[in-house]
Amino acid sequence: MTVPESTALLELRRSPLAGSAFGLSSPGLTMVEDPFRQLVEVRGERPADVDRGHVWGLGPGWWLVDGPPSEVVALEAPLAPGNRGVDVSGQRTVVTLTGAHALTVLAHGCPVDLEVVAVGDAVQGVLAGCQVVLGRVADDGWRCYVRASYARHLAAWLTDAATPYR
Amino acid sequence: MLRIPCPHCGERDETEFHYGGEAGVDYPADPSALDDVAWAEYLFVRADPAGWFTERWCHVAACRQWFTIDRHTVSDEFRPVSEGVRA
Ligand SMILES: [Zn+2]
Repeated sequence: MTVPESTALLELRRSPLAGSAFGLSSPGLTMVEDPFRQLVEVRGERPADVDRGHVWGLGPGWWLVDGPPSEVVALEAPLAPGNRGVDVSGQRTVVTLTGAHALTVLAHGCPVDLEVVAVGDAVQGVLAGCQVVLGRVADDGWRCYVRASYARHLAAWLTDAATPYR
Repeated sequence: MLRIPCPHCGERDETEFHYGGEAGVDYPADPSALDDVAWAEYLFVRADPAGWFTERWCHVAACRQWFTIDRHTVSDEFRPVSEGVRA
């Protein structure tokens, strides 16, 4: 068996929402999957920021580093001595929600008060029955990290919840 | 539904938490030395008051931290752990 080139291997990947026709682009709400991000969970002190990425606080001494897709797992998250990082890229996919109605749509299925989440902060909680990480990237911009096996359920729920805003 | 104040995340729905039972129940120092009555006492017998009760909870759906808190078993109010009670 010949081993394909790494770029050919990338073409074999299927994101959790591939083929689900998920996505919405309307004046007040844009929803789209942002798949194949490099995700690393860090235990210890807050890791340094990464280029074109995000660092979210998940709990005391617990961080999620989100970096751009790469052909190989190569996310460089400089760690303080004694801190630990684990590649969890395959665990979740990311759905981005942007627009004036983004918070409203999330609030339809999430009992956590998202109004008080500052830009740059994240909360973990339950959205439509799925455990998610919700990171606020802007006043009207969110990144929703959802387990791959729950992604289609969440996408269907988001599509339904967004009906009044399409 | 209970609303439980996580010390790290604030007040959240009960469904985000795992219950850990009475706080301060130590594993026996020498379990093999216990007779069946004492072992059963350790495993199963809890204070079960009608009133304030110091409990363990784990916020499994978010910060995943264990914490200790007082709950009133009649009114389901929560308050910080009372003085002198260990986690
Ligand atoms: Zn918590």
